[in-house]
Amino acid sequence: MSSSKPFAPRTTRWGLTARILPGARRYGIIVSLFLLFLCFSILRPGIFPTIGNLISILKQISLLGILSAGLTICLVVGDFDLSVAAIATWSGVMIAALLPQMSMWMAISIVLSMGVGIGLVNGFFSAVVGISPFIVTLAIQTMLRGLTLWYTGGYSLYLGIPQAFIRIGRGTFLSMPYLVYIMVLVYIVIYTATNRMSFGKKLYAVGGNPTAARYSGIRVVRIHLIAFVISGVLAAGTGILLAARLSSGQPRAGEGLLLNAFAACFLGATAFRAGRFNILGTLIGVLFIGILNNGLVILGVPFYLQYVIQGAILVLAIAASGLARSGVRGKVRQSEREERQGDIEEV
Amino acid sequence: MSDDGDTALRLKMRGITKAFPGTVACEEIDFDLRRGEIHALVGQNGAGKSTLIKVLAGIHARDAGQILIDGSPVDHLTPRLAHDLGMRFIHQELNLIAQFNVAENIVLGDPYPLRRATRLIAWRKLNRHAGKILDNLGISIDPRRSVQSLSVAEQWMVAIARALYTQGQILVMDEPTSSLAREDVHELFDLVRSLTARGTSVVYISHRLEEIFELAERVTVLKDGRKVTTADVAALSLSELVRLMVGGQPQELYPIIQEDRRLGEIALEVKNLTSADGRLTDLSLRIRDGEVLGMTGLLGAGHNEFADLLFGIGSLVSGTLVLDGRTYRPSSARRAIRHGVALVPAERRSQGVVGDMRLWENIILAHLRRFLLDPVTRIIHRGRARRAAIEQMQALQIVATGPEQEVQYLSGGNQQKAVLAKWLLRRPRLLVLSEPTRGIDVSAKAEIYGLVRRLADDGSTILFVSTEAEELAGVCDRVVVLRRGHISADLSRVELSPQRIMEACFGG
Amino acid sequence: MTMGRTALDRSMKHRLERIALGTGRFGTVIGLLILVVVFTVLKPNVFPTIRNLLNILNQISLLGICATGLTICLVMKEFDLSIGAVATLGAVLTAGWIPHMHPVLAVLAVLAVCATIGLISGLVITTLRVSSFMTTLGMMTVLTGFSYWYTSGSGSILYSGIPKGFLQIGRGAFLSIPYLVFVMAAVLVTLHVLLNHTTTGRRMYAVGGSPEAARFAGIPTTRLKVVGFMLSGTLAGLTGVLLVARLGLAEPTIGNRFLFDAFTVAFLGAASVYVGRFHIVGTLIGTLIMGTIFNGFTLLDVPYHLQLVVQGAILITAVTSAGLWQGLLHTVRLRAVRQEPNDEGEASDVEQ
Repeated sequence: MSSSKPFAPRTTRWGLTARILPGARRYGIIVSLFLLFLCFSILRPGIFPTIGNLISILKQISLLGILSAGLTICLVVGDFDLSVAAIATWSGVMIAALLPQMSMWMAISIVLSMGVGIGLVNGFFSAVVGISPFIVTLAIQTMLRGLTLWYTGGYSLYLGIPQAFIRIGRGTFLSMPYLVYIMVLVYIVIYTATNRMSFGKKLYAVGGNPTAARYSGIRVVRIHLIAFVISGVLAAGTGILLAARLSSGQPRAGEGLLLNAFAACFLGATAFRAGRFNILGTLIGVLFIGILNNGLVILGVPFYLQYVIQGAILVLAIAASGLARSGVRGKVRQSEREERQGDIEEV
Repeated sequence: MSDDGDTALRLKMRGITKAFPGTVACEEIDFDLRRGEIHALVGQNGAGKSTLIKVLAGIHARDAGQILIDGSPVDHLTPRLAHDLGMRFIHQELNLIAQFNVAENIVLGDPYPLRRATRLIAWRKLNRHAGKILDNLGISIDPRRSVQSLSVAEQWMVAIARALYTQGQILVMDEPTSSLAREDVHELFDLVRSLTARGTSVVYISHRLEEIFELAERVTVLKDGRKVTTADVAALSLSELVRLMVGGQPQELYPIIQEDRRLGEIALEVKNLTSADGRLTDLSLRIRDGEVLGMTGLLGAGHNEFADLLFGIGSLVSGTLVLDGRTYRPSSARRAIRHGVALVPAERRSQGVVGDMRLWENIILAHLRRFLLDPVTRIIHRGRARRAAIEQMQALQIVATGPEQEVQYLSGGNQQKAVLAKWLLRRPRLLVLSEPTRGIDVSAKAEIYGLVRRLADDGSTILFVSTEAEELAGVCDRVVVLRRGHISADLSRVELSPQRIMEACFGG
Repeated sequence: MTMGRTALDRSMKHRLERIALGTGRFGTVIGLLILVVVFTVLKPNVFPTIRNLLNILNQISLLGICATGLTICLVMKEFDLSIGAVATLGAVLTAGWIPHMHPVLAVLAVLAVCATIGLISGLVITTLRVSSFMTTLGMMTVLTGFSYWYTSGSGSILYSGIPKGFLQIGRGAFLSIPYLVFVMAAVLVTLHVLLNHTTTGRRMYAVGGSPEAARFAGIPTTRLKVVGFMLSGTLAGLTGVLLVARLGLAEPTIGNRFLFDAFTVAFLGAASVYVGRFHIVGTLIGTLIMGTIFNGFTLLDVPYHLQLVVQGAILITAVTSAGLWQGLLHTVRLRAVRQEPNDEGEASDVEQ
């Protein structure tokens, strides 16, 4: 006679609801995305759903997308990296400062290495020393902001930036901006890393249960370090591309990116496997934010109202994913948590 | 329909049903509790014990059924209401607040004593009340001590003190002895008996069936969400009880071990091992190929530390380990694994499995390298991985909806098998099992014992660390008993018996 | 016999440990004292005066109020990212309403609005069981937008019609101590007493310590969290009100710096005295540190951006030493629970 059954379904009162609700929870954000798209298409049929506009949306979110991809990796292992925006800003300023003095690729390599360095510092203090990453990255971003201000004196750096560099930020290939290709490439690489490679398994193991990961021979500290490095590099890359697009290094360039990056990642965590950060979900989140922004601008909504609507939709989206889990009379989500506390226990 | 017997009952639960999506945890369960009785609740994992208790505690809302306390029905139970009605619970997780001291943990949930004038907390009065309760229970812990500095047994005492801080009529204890040493268990039993003498009713949940026979008057058996029976303990035998829990034919729990097995070369030699934390002093032993060596001792004797040390956790101050003739210096888990040592840790949920990853992912987690498509891209070959997982599932009889199921949804026994599968995939040189059957139901235990013997017969070397003397006697070729950091007895197969083991633990 | 040397090593280690344990708790306080000494040496005529001290207190008073509210949320392990935006909202609404009604009424109305915002955030987070990080982020965005909208008609700055009496609160003093300092002191003391000497406060700590244990013990977790968010919102709103009293104007970025600063200060606090826990005294220490740095650097003519760098460095140092201290404490505790092996009697139980 074998041991206890797993949770193989017996006839339950939940029946149909049990089958629909998990699906709703999983795809809720995607559905909302399409609804949003539909809404704007109906409201501005000639302007919104055009190829030109869609390309414009992709261009606008490309930088946010790259930044969010790096952040996602950190969030998977449970580290909050608050410094990504500051790293991007700093990198934008640095690349603008270095470009006039050396070859483009040299400058890019140096700035990317800075991103690696900052990531290592973040990782060192949080994984090796053991301080909460929230506070480490908060402190680092404060310092970076100070450094950026110090270096630029508040001014933008725009002299001596080669055309080749600017073309990266503004050029297109088959009418699609280079930036979009870069973003897609980044997502393909990150997706492969997290979903197909052994690295991804280790990443999720460390994020899910660091002790069990360590007991399985995974080098937990190293994984945290790598996560921060990836986040740092992608943030630096974002900064470089930002400078390319603006053709200058601006000390205030990164503002707003931090909020949106976290928003995108959290929205993404509501998709597919609820509560888990994942790269595809982040992409959906980024698209969501991009479409929302674009649509509101097209509708001519004044910018402050945009803030209000964005914030409200964000809260609604989060709440809705929580509700979808709760289901009928708020029972299902509660029950699932109870379920995990209950019979699967050791007793 | 109300019997006049009902009002004499402290608690009556009728037709309790509780379902979760995909499963019915409790179905039409009846349970009653008389005044001053000790009523045991037993059943395998998934039988519904925990859920039933959580329904009673107001943590889960029941779907159907009635709960009557002293004859009056209760609707809409919440933890607060359950408390107000005189029910006290000590769950397995203890639920103490680590940052608080003993006194504040005792009063948790109840009103703090306040100063009359300012309505602020009267700390000295609190400490006095707490001290009084501890004294009444015969516990000598300073109420101002931080809970974090207490041992597990002491924490359990604090949990009991909290449960008894205000007068309660019903006390529910969930697996109270799993972390207690023998002496403490007897103290606990005395405490329980004194409580029932005063009229409190006790519900006692435990996997340790021998305790049930020692302590309880009646026992209710649950199986697959339904009640099997309620019987007087005196009228049952152990095997009958097991049969009721498991159903079908009574099964032999322990596999048959051949006498005079041919053992191989010395696999591991330990010479004069002294650990950095002072637990182990000058420990020496040998394990041979194909041997199942048991190791045990009282809590704190050092057996768990030894298991951890072999796996690179903790450090040694002096002594040497020789694995297959070569010096073995495990400085980390990773190193240990590379030398072929595997550890199935004592805490499976927090150390063994990554709950929200799938079964196949957990199984390959310690040996990802084997499933790479190619070493450059390091992409996992999913087909190979799934096949390996399915092989393991069949070999170990892991019951799940498939390799894609998330491990957190498996029962404790199956999770443990998943951990085993993870290590067996690597064909370890030395398999260290630390409390491998803790909190696992009877049939899963039997399967694991059979597995251990089969592995040994195939030539594996196994160190079986456990505090259950019965299973050590039933499964091992040899048992080494530790006492205060060194070996006090080395019992060969012929000398092995649970009594002998216990005696050696105490220093007989 | 190996006992001799190892015993000596052990006692040395113990002594070092004891020193480390004793001082580690007060690392940030020591840091503060060092700062004071350094600035005194560098500016002996200006820095160590009563007047300058009061100046520091005055400058940090608003941050102190805001950070105290945040501390309560942090005690229960919830993040309130909206405090900056609520402070801005408080300021903007005060500047908008006070010209049209009695100042006390206006202030009360503003505080009521901010409390309600906290209530809404709290309810969304607790009843829908969603992350406080995201919800307060969203709330922050909404409120920022609202503040921009509200001030857009007047060219983004509201400054007219603010009664002199109201401005006196922000700029006046009693016995040379600025009124704002009194307000901060009142807030700090009240909330300290609430958190440490009332049932509500202790239960909030319980919720932060172990939300499950608290719930199973019958503690109304939801209610407490909502109260926490309401307090955080109200105090952030009060910060905004007082900003107007001090500066005489309100504009939509006025509260921004409070967000990061309050978190910095609260975390500095968690690295002090009761290491590992958020508490009001610690937050006060953190606030004093920040104020001292700001004051000292201003006196020394050090530019703002350098202050930012130093702020970040101090935060990391403080939290690192606190972390190391905690690790040390844990090791010593574990060792205390296990007796030394050469003691007589049974070794006591080991933590599993």
